[in-house]
Amino acid sequence: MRIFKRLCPAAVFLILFVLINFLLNDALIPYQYPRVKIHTIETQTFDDLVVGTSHSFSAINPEILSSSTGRSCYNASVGSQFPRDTLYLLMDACRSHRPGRIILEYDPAYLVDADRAFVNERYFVQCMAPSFVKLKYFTDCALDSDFRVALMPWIGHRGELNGIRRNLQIKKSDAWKKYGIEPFDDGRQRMTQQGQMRIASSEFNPAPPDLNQFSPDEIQDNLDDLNRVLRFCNREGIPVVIVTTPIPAETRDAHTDYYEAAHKLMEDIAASHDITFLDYAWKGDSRLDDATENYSDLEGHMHEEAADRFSAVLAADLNTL
Amino acid sequence: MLSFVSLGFILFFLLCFAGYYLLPGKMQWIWLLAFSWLYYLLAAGPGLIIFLIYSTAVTWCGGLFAERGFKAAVPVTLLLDFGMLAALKYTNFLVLNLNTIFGTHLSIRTLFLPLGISFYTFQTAGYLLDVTWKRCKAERNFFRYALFVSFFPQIMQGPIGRYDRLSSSLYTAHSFDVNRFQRGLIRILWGFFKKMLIADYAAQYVNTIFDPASAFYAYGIFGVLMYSAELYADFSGGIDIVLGAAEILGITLDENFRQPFFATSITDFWHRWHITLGTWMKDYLFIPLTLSTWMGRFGKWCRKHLGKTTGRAMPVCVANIIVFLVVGIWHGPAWHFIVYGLYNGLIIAVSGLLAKPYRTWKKALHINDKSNAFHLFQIIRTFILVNISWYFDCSETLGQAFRMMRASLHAPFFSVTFVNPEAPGQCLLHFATILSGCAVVFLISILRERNIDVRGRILSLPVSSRVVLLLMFVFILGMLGCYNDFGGFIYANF
Amino acid sequence: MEQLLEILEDIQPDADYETCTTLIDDGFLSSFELLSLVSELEETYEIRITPVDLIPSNFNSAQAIYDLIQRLQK
Repeated sequence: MRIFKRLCPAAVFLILFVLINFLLNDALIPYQYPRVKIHTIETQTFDDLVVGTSHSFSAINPEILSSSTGRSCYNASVGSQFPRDTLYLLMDACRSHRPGRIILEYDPAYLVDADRAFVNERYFVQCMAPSFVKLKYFTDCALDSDFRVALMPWIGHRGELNGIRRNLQIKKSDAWKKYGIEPFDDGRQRMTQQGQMRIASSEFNPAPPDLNQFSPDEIQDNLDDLNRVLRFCNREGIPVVIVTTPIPAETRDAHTDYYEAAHKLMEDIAASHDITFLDYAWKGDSRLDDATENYSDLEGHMHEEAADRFSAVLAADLNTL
Repeated sequence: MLSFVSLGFILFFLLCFAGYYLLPGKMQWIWLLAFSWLYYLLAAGPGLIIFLIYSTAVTWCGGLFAERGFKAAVPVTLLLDFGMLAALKYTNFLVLNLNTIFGTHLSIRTLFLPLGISFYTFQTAGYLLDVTWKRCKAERNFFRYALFVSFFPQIMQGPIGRYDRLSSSLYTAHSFDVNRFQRGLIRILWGFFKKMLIADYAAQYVNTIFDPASAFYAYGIFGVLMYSAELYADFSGGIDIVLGAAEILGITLDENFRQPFFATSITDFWHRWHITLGTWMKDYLFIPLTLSTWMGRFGKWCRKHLGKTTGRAMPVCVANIIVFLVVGIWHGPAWHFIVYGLYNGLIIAVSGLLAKPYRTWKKALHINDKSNAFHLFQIIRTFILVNISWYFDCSETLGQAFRMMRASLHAPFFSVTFVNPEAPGQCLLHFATILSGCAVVFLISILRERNIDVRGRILSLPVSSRVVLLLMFVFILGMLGCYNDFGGFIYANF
Repeated sequence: MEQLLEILEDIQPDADYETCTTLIDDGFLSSFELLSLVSELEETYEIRITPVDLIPSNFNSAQAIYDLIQRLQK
């Protein structure tokens, strides 16, 4: 009885903590792409699975790839997907729906940028179905990170109080229950059923890209994670093709050394794993128009029409492998 | 890795705590040693633990030899112990200065600094001297001694412990005590409060202003005030977590802070700030230095040539300046740290020399030095002097410190949104959080200065109120607390 | 004893040396003043004070200081 009396306040605290946390998560965390994408790769098998960052999210149209290659395709790329996230997404997919081939998009900024945003990873973890992979992912990310983000994931969105109403509406809707893509359509960009982000050609952000000094010595963690991804695919017997999506010519001209160094780095990594590397950024491609009008910003996020043309070129190159 | 604010550390500590109270009393210290070494392996990496073991072994042996009367034990051990610290921390500084002065071209190498080396080196040296001066007996059991050296809550940023005091609680059996657990927990949460609501936000201002290439270097006065908030909240917050964690395990560590900004003089400040460093310097450097033979001869010379009053104070002044020179060097291998130390040392030395004249002047001016007004004057004066010293502590070079001090005299008015002009609302919120946090700390400090047991008062509230308070507190840390994915503490790099 | 009290008054006149027994414990004598005192005592009484002697119980009262001087003079 004494022990029960002692533990009671602690138990009450824990229950209330979990409850309030649950409510805050519901209210503050918006409906985001990873929820749909992770559910898709956990429940469907694809011959080709595209993984990577926001660049491939907009640049690669799985429908066009499919119709050219004859292989089913899904675009599981999303912004803030670092190599470690890619690893766990693939591990999650392979639990029961192993993909036939991986098209891994390499954005040098993600290797150079050591500052992984744990809040985003935390969301990826949250979206996964309970499994040993989810536990491993959580352990890999959470132990080194602030305990508040690990235990209270809503703090990544604590400033977004005016989004609460919309969040709660979506979470009561059919789209939420069926992992629908309708809430992502905001008139300027929308996500397709195959996972591509289609950006309207009217969209353009002229801000110059924020490219850090390319110094691979300082981002060993990200490089190690990338190698873990490639070794995992090798062990599972899944072929990999590494792709760097095209960039505007003016960005390439302004940062030639950066993309030169990035190309060299990935060339070496791909060679060491005996993997094909298709780099459409480094020297451009004569089949593609790299004028700025094809992009929604100088970083390289493609408009939908340009993305379709690029996807056709990529599919043709994949067919020759 | 395993920063105090990480989930990993919390789980690590919970595991330690659970096993600790499930084990029989005799095994508890062994469990702590295992966790302390494990903590060091995880936090610092397997390569660096050899340095910790090295210092442990060298000073343990040194203590045993010193107790047996081997005269060489102390100098040899101190050389080996401090020598390692000097080699790792100060070699590059020495090389750079030799190159500058003598035009040599010696190369510098990237040297790693083992976690906590500045703290455990001093702690082990203190043990050796205590044994030599018969203040405590040498510890015969290597592993018991190893726990004293590596006890994980204090390894990263102190407090610098004394063997005679620590051994009374470190090795004894402890049974779980709810009250002690709650007190420790409150202390840990208080540390998180200071770190997350004050230190991390203030750091953004300090880093922006004191960046060597900063366009805002004229905001020095605001910068040092923010640094006062940041350094105190970060360091004392970290120490609160350390002491709270130790308290939960039934172990009493020495206090390191005692409302330092209520100090009435620089001397008093160093009795309230980083207390264990100050007492270490006093007991192991200042006093032996002052009482040494050659200092005695110097004192005689001073009395002969400078008169009795100045003569008796001079050895103490010189010793004091030397001690603060060492304090400056302890902070880091750079000239601005040395000047930081000397600045403090000189102020104390001069005020010591002028103690008698001060008394005469105060009498002549009819100043009542027991009045509240004078007390307030002393506090404000000390606060200003301390903030000036931060120019030297915070800048990366001496040149930068002086440049900023000059520019501070012509500081323009500015809005606090300069640190992130694209998000002014956020800046204002963060700044308001700093001010509110400081206000809370100030109130608690006043209560603590009057020896009011704040934690006791909280624990006397009904259980339901305490549960609600705890929930509110945790969610305030989430809602308002600064977060980033690094969570490092300033003094964890020493 | 008279001479000792004179020295003490000169270094720190604010303490009551007739009755106080917590000169060190209650901070009436700061480290600076204590060591200035030690320097003066060594000169005046031709004694040698070492760190081992520098414990609160030897300096907490004028009487304790006097007793220490007597011990060291032997």
